[in-house]
Amino acid sequence: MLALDSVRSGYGKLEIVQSASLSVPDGSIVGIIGPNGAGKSTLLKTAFGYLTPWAGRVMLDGRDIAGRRPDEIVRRGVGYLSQAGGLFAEMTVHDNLVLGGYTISRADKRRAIDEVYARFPLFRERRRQVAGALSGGEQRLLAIARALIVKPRLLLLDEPSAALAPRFIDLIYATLQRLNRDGLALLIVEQNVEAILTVAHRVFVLDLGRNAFDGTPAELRGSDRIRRLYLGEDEGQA
Amino acid sequence: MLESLLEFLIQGLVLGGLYALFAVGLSLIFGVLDVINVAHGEFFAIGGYLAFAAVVLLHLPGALGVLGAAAGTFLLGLAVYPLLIAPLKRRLGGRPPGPLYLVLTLGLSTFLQSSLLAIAGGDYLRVPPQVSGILDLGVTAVSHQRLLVLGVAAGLLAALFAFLRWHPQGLAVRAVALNPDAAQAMGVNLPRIFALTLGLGIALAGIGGALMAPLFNVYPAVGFPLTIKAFAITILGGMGNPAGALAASFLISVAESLSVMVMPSQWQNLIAFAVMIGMLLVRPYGLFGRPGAR
Repeated sequence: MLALDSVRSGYGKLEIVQSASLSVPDGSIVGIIGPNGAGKSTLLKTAFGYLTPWAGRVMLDGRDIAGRRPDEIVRRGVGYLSQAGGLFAEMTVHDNLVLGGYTISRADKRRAIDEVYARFPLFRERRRQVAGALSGGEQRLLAIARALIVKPRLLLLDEPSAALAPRFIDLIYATLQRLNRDGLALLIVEQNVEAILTVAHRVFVLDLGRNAFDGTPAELRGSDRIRRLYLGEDEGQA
Repeated sequence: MLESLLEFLIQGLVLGGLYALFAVGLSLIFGVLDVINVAHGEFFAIGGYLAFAAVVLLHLPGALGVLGAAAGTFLLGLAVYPLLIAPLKRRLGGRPPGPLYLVLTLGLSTFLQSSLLAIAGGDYLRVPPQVSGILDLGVTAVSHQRLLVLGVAAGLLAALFAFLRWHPQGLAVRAVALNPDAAQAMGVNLPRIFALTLGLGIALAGIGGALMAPLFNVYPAVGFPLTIKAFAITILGGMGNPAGALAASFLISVAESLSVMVMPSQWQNLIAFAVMIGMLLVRPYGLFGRPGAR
């Protein structure tokens, strides 16, 4: 579905991603982990069009989308959740959901918002409150619910568990797994290695903007070198 | 005393309508694009010239003059983003623009003023009122043209705020003002929203120019003092806060109008700027803004 091939990218003249490749097959959960500054979020932003790659290809369904704007990529069935969730904190819960359906018809939007309210009754009760008044975990759930309004085929998530209480991390990941079972492919950048290794079908480790590992969570757990270097574990600990 | 108070209050409200048409657009543009449009006053002047061309040169009804000014300045506003701001943004890449947008619109202001001078000359042009007559309120009287300015301003601003509140494109405009990256992730086309915002904001100034043309004379620099005053209003209301700009427009205009009852009229124009300087020193985010907001 999504394939990044030898991508180089960065900000201004600062190269962050030096050569990274990965692929996300239909219906899979793929994780990207690595130390701080490895280029994980930069790679995700490049895949979604916030950044134009300096070199390499970003292929979606076999077509190169490098240089396309994020709104064009959204229309091709890809959603994106930033680290902070990207909610409009000063707008109401309902308006956030309405904006989530910006690209679809009014009838489809109404139906999708009703589905969100049925699945998360809390949001129906608090639909007139500003989104910023929700707790951190509720905001993250609302951001995920909002991203689903347009029924994307692939969702890119930048550290969905960041700054959340363990209770909410479990809830978020349970929700993501349920969505994946319904066919949604997920590409997740994550610092919480245990959380992502539990759900991912495949994991990529990035270091200094380059691929350092590519395999299944079981293969990663079986590699002493990777565990030692990137998971901060001592030999024999795992 | 009561008659004077009522008269000055009505004058203040009419002036507030004009200020609001002007300042709300300026504030909306700043909030969405982070651009201080120094050329806003020149679009006000263009609105006046378009009304003059329609009514005096083409002998069309006054209402068509206002509609022509609205359409003409809206189209000009739509063109500002793709022709000027987007190319500069592309050149800058991801680097912060610093004062470059300010310099760009200052250049546009001078270019438009010089163009108006070259095309229409520097004479003061008169436009007949769109409506004639005077409403006698007993204690005072007010011309129908002034009431028209106030009524159209109220109607347009109510329509604008309803658009921003309920229409999907209006929600998108607000979303871009709050978080452009997140808005893009919703599928919002940023260049289109930037162009639309400039079109709307500039059309409000153009309509103001057409409506005020019968009350002021039309000349190339007619809008420049308004631009400066609108800066004071937007700072009072909170930069990038159209609702704050609306409230601040009436606060300033009524204060200016009533001030002539207690001080010489030549001090009237100083009020807005004294308020602006005071606000910047004491509460730079304005009466209705919050620290950290744009």
